[in-house]
Amino acid sequence: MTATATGTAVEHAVLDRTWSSRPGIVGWLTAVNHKQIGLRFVVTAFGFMLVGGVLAGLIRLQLIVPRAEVLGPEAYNQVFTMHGTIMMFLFAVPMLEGLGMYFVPLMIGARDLPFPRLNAFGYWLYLGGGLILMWSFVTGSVPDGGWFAYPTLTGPEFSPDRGLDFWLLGVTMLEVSGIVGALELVVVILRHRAPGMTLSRMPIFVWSILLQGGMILLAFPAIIAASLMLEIERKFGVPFYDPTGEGNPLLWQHLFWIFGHPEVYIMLIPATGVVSAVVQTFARRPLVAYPLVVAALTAIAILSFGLWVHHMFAVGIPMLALALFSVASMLIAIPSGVQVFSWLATIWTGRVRWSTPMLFVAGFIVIFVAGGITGVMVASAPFDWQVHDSFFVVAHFHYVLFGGVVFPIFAALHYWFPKWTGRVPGEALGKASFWIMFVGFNVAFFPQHFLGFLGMPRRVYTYDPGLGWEGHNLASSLGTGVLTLGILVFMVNLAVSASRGRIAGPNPWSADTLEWAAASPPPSYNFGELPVVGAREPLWAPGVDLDERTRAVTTALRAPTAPGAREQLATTVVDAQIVEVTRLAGPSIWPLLTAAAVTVAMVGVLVDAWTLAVLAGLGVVVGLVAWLAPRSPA
Amino acid sequence: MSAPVVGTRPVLLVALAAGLTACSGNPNALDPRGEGAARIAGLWWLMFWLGTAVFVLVLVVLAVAVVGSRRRRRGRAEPDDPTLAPPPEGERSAHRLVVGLGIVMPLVILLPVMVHTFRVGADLSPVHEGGTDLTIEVIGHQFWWEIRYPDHGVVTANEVHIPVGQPVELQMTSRDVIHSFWVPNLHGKIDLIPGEDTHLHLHAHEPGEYWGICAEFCGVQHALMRILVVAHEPGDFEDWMAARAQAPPTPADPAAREGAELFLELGCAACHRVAGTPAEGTRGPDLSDLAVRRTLGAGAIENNRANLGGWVADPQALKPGNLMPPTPMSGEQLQALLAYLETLE
Amino acid sequence: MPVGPTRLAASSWGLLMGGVSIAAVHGSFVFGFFFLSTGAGAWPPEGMGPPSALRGLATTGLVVLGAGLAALAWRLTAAGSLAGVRSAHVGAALAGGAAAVLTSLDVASQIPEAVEHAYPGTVALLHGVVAAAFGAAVVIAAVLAVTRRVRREDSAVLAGWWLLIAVLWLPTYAAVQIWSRVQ
Repeated sequence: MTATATGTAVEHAVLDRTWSSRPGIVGWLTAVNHKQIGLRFVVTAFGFMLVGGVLAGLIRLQLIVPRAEVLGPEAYNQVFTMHGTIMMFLFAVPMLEGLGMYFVPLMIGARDLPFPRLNAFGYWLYLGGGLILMWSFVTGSVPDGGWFAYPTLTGPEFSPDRGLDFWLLGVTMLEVSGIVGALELVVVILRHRAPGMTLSRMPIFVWSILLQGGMILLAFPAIIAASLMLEIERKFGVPFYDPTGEGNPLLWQHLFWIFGHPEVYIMLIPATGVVSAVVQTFARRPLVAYPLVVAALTAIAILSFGLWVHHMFAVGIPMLALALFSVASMLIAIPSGVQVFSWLATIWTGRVRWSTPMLFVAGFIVIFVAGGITGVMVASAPFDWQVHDSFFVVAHFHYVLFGGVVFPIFAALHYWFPKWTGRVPGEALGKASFWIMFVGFNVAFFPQHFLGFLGMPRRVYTYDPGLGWEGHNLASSLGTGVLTLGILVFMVNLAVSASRGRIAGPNPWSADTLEWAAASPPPSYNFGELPVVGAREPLWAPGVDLDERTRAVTTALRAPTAPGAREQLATTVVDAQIVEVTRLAGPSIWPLLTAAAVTVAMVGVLVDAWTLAVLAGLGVVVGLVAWLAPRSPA
Repeated sequence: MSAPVVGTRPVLLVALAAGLTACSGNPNALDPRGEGAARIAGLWWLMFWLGTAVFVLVLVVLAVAVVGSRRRRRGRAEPDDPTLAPPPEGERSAHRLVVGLGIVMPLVILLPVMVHTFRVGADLSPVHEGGTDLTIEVIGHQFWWEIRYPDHGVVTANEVHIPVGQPVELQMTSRDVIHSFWVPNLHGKIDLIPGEDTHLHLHAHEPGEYWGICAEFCGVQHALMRILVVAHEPGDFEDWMAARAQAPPTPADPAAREGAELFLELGCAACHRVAGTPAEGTRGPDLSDLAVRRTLGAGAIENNRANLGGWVADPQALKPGNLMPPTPMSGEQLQALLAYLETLE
Repeated sequence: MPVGPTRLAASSWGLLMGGVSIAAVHGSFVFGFFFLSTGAGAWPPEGMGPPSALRGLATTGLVVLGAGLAALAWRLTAAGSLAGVRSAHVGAALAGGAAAVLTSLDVASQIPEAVEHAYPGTVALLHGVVAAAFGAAVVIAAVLAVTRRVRREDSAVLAGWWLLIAVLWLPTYAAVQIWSRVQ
């Protein structure tokens, strides 16, 4: 790759002044820098994970013995609904998008995301939606329809209180936030890669975020539309899902799973992107079969939109259709297999250092393969008739989502911690946390497979003794305790390392991607001299010879070409040839104010304060105009 | 890292295989007593052994990779140079591994699974109607099951009685929210959807009592919405049907007669039906054969006089959130009512 | 420096991505319209029907007009003709305003019966999305007209937005005005 940060101290000072957020509390509220916003997503999502984890603990406490009375039926239904909702909407997707926001610009040699204010808006919207959902705990009307909220149970007749309104409005805000983030990431990846970083030189993690973004843009609208219709049905009685008015509850299921199935891969694809990055770094060799892995990721992204009916095998759809969806669902095993064996081959032919992130990745491979195998099983429609909505499925999707997504997220947090803090996390506690989590996870979730065969449906708040369910439930609950301990150890390790860890330097893992060329933590402008890329693993390759034009441009951009101009390169989609210098927007309070207006409008709808809702809606328009309106020519 | 995993997993899997086929009496999808469950269990065991083979293969490759990687690392005495790329080693054989095990192997494994899925699915397909001698309507309610035998004019609740040795069609729908009918020993599940009809063919191989639970989250008492399928020898089924087809006898005992009047006066009849009486309510379960049912509250508690008294006095204590309100009454009234309810068979 | 500062590359792609998502929301409603029609006895049911055919035709005309004016403004920015660009923006704002009124009337025509049957509710929803898109087109064009700026990326936003409107309107018209009547 190129020289890293060169240039004079003066140039760096000017760049820093240009790209920094304003000081103080105002600066915090108006900040738009991708690293600040991305880190906010990561930290907030981690916080929500802890909330969701406490709820999971309550679930396992209630099920630890038959007829336990930790939670009543209402509370239990609220708790499992919010556990799923938080983990899906408030933790996994925002966490992965946050990692993308922080690291993708660094990995592709950009200085910021293309619409920095929109990015800030996305965070505030996420926070607002999350607070609306959390507020439901204060009011006592907690959503209790399950994370997939099937009507008619969630319609006005059978869920008359406000719980579901919190859910529908909050989740809609989160989905809009997700779309906004995806839009940023897709555009930055397609239009702002470093010169020379052709599509075939993009790191796998960047590919995974690109595909995730594309999937979010297409999948999240389906649940937004479905939620709007359900909210209208609840508020105004329009029978979209109510069969007495020729509505159809299955419309919700179709729309929800057109969103919900891609959602699984929206979480999984970036997680596998993390895995590829970690494997490549710690095996100290390029990923084996890079083109096949890219093809596999793309195939998964496309296939995932054709699988939604496999969540509806028990609703009475004709067998021919079920068979087609069965086959399509099973075919996912092939691109997944390509990825798994690419990692294994990379390990085999590499020289692996077993640091903590690599351990999490190895644990991920074991658990993910197990979850993938049960995934092929539940893709078989007749078998699914037995295990659908049973604890077998609970076990399956925790293998896929906890093993397949949370383990890579933990690997990522450990792997990228030095970039955020400038310090390397401790290895001893890190490895201990992995082993405790790995053991705890399997003890918690493996027995649940048995419970499914033994007829235990998911979402039951209690069960009778004598059904043969006691031992498995007890093991599962105890395993959850061990798992919790592992997560605590992980957190303690990071907390201690933040102040006491070894100083990292730019590239503590000797990794190959561009984020490790920037200082740790990176300066506000990421790179003084914009990198130019000539290889797939730029930090492992010799530098590139710049042509005249590129040299002229990167030299010119060592400092702003006009006072205060936040400039970054725009390049062509495929070949990453320079096409223009894009000037980005700077800090602004309007994203926060607009998101606040959206939140107030949602609250207005929630409490039937229609005047407030309309006024706040007008506020949103004013905010958007004030934020987006081009300045009149000087 | 893989050593303990390699060691314990197969043991667990063998325990799985053994543990799931052993016990009986309780719900168990792998202890099939009916056509559907048997075919699906066959499909499962095929997938189980193939899946186990794949899992073990992955673990072996991982173990070999770890060992190989460690050897390669040790082979290089010099410290890792952080700036230069390591030379890609064994690129072609690594590539071959990805194609062979990542693409070809899954295809080979999936083919029999797909074929078997088609065959079992086509044979068990729940959507083809008719073709059976007996059709039973199952209607889901929060949180109980209404069971109707339209050809015999019989209505009951929470217990489905079927003859063994022949397929019986269950025709399902729901009056309120989505429920799901699942009796693991007999068949997979099918949803009960308001405004739609779904179908399931139950074909029990041997007589017995088979328990299941509503499998689609349906509200506050989803957990205590159980269903019992009782499979009879065909002759016994005829007897059961003949007994059910008659209205319960007019009570002879004076206390029971008083109870019958109280049943109408206290408002029970607004929601419950008793055949041959003016009680024609349809919101709650039909009580014409209450005395011979095994449980109360759709499997919430055993059906005996003490529990029935407790249930009538305060249904919310035993199954909080069910839709039956408590009915205020004196102790004598309750005893009379219980005397009457015990005659309903 | 060999390249000039613009935002065309980023903003046009950003608009494209946002447009894809908005169209996908609307597409979900269109899916709902057809999905519900397959399960319903009669679609539209007896005594209910699509909004006025005349308004539908007029709206279609306004879509063509507005999109044409927005495209014209985009062309004129290249020539740097401030007066021409502004006139085109004002014209597009007027077309969008008129269409917003017409589609709002379509929504209003369906609301009285919307609680009885899913058909009018779905039709109102489809027109509601389009009406909101027209409203946004008015705001964008008005802001551009007021700020008197001739920048390609700004006109590109307006032209792109009208393209999105066409993408939203065509399936709406086809489903509600044509398909409802041939049922």
